[in-house]
Amino acid sequence: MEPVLEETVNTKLTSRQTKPLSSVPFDFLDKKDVVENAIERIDLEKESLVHSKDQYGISSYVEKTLDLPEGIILNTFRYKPTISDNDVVRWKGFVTEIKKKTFISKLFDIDAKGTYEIGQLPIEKIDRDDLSLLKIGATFYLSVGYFYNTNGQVQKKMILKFQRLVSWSVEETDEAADRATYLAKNISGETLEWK
Amino acid sequence: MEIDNTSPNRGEIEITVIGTGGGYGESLIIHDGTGQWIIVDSCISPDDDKNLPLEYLNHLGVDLANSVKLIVCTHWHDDHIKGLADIYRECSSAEITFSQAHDQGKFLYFVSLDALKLKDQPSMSSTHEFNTILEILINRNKSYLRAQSDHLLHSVKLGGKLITIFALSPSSSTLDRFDEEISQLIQDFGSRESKIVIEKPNEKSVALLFTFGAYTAIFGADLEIGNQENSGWFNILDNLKCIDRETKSIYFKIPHHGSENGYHSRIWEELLSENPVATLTPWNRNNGLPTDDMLKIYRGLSNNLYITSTKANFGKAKKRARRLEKLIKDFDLVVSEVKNNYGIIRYRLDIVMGEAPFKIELAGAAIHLRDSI
Repeated sequence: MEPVLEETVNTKLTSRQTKPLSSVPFDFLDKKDVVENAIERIDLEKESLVHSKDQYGISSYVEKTLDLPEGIILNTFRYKPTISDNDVVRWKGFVTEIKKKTFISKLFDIDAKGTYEIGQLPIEKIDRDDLSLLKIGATFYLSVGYFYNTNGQVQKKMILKFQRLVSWSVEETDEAADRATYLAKNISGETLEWK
Repeated sequence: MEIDNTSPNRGEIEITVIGTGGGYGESLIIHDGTGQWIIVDSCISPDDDKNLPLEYLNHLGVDLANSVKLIVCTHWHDDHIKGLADIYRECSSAEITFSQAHDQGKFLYFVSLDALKLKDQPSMSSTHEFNTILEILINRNKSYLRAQSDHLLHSVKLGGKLITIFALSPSSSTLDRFDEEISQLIQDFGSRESKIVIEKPNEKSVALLFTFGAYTAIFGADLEIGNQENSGWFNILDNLKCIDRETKSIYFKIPHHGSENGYHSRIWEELLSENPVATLTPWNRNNGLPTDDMLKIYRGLSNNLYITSTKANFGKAKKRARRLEKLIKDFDLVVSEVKNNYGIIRYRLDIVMGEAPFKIELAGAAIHLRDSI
């Protein structure tokens, strides 16, 4: 049971305003327009969203087949996964300690400044591909909340991804060496005399 | 700010400890009796991002640019260094001091490698702060003062009285080991995903001796006892020349949040006067410091024991929508907020007036440990 209370479509071609589905002027999309404005058509496909809200106020984006002029293939409004800020906690974390079954980290709430938290997380929640990245000082991103799947259904999810970056290039390490030379040339430590 | 904003008089020593409960750093502010100030470490309020030592000195109406003469970075822990670059920028006539490895070239190469990580992780406090400080040093065409045991860091005369600050640590052998550690860190510097973690930063911590006329005070930083006679507190007890063994310190900033690792009976017997003023900053992470057992010991050693805040309660995450709080639990995540417990302990003593009694003022969450816990 998913009674739809409100249904709107948002198209770039119609000045990005949200309009009731029934009022979208699809008749303006003749073949000529589409060919001449191919980029606009892509934008339309990407950014047009059919937005529904149920009686609980929960949003979803529903795949729709629209009645378009002949010759125009635009039968799928792409799902755009989205989340509401109130429904997800997002942290950036730094590993500070690794235990047998858990790891301890400093957690900074990305959306709320202020104090930080200490988290104890089960190692088994780490993707097998990321396990090698678990070490003291490693950076990771952790999200816990309610996410929409491709069918617009709400799912409880925890997403834990460790930061993975390409190795240092020779240029970058050379840059560090150059900077060290520059610092050494310009900075010195002193000692005050005393008897 | 809750504390009185009257500046100390000429001839009046001030030692002020600002604590945040451990998670957001701590700072020590010293007035040397002549209108000059020293700032040791830094801390930032997580609630409003205010630099707490600067806020305190502004509250007293201190001319930051001309009256702050020395800034001490005791060690490279994020929680002690955050905001230090801002302090150095504001206090433009101050000297800055920190400990470094003996091999300056290697040390700076390591610092430069570490700075590369700022591209990926701009929030890394210690790296960011330290590199900004180096840039300021270059722009001002100034040198820094090397902090190492027995090194003089500040000296001024008040009438016939000599006022000094000496570094009590790290020892030369500790810095030798730091050289070796840096070599290893440079060798291992392959992964950009993780932060560089310096081993045992507390061992390199800069403890200080403050002498003012006939009196002395010791500030323990995070220096631990260690297990070698030429490092940590054993080196201070056995080898240092700057300590006058006849003069026992009347003030002690207890090292390393009152941990067992920062305690040795010899410190209290050989360096401190009977019943000294002793100050503590707690550490509200892991199991928390100081432990109840250590508090019992410290209370037995001084009736003048003060702490910037009591140990905070653990176990609760930040307040969020109830369904999110439930979800965090459902995924077996144990999350607890590190609270900001701001407290100030201010000690003042007039050394010109002779036997005048010292004054203690408390603000925020600070308490006299005679009263509670």
